[in-house]
Amino acid sequence: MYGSLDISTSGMIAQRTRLDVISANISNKNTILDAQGNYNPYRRRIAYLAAGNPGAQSASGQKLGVHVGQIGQDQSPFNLKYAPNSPYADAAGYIKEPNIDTTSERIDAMEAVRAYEANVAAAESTKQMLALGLRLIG
Amino acid sequence: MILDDVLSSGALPALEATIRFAGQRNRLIGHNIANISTPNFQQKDVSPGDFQKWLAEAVQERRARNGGMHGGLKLKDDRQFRATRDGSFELNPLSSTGGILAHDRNNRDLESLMQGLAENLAAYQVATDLMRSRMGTIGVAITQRV
Amino acid sequence: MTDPLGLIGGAQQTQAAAGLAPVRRAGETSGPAFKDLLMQNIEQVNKLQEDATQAIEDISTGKRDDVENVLLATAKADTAFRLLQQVRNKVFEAYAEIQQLRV
Repeated sequence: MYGSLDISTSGMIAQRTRLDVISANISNKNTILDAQGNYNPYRRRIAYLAAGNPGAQSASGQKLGVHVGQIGQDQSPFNLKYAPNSPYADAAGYIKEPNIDTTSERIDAMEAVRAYEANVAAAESTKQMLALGLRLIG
Repeated sequence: MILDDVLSSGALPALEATIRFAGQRNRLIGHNIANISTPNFQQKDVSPGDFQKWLAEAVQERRARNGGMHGGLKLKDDRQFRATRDGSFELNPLSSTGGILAHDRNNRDLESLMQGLAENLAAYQVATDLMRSRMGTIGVAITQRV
Repeated sequence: MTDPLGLIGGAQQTQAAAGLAPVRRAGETSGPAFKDLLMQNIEQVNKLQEDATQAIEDISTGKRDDVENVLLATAKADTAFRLLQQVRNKVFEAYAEIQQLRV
């Protein structure tokens, strides 16, 4: 009886995690120092999703649904910005900035929101079917 | 024998099959929707057309066998519909519905998924309402109280 | 020479003629006996109730998660039981009626 909403909830959680990652990326668009103050430009993070949901309550719920496999770092090269006066500039006068493109992050965010809404619709559908089925008895 | 005939009279077996199909398909579509951003994920579904053709064969067979007003349906084992112990069946989605392959190798098609979800729910509603009404009629006949 | 009543012949034949046809025992019919039908009915109802109980227990303990099958099994078991109940009522009514017959 428990676990009927596992599939849709896992979808919502996964999309919300993606959205969190995207928000972090957008906020850190210009971050070139890490927490210790060293020159370590922020690398774009990506949430990798995978089918299946090991955290589900029922055995069939574990086969279905989705979960975040890992949050990895985008290995594509940093953006180079010409700033010869910066203390972190290299020999040619460039500093490395995070490999984040705000526009594509925003579009990913829109897609994550749309996917989240779709999962909400699926959860509503499941709840309605449960209610309808109950009218068969009694 | 009376009991079997009463519980499988008229369209009850067909309605039962539809209810079971819609219930399972709801989970399937939910799984596809949950994985709409998963890379390399293959969207799989069972087309309602296939289900209805499969059901039609069983209904036709019952009609030919005994006139079609009583008796259970003999559901044939099919690649997409596997019979289970308790007279029910399990969906085995094969075909990949969905749209074109996107850059993350996921062939999602959100609009078709939402349409499938809504139509499936409507079919479930119709089937459960009809079944409730038929069972109600049987109940009236049994208790002879209108 | 025909002998429809069997009057010509030995003593056994005379005795046979006392009744024109062998007396049928009360309760014998050409189809299955009502008692057998009723027993079958009771067994089937019992089986359906057991199936429904099993289904409900399975879904409560998480062994299955398809609610619609459990609801269908329960609806069928309840209808079956109602039918059995009504058959029992009718049988009792018939018995009571027969008891009241003035012979």
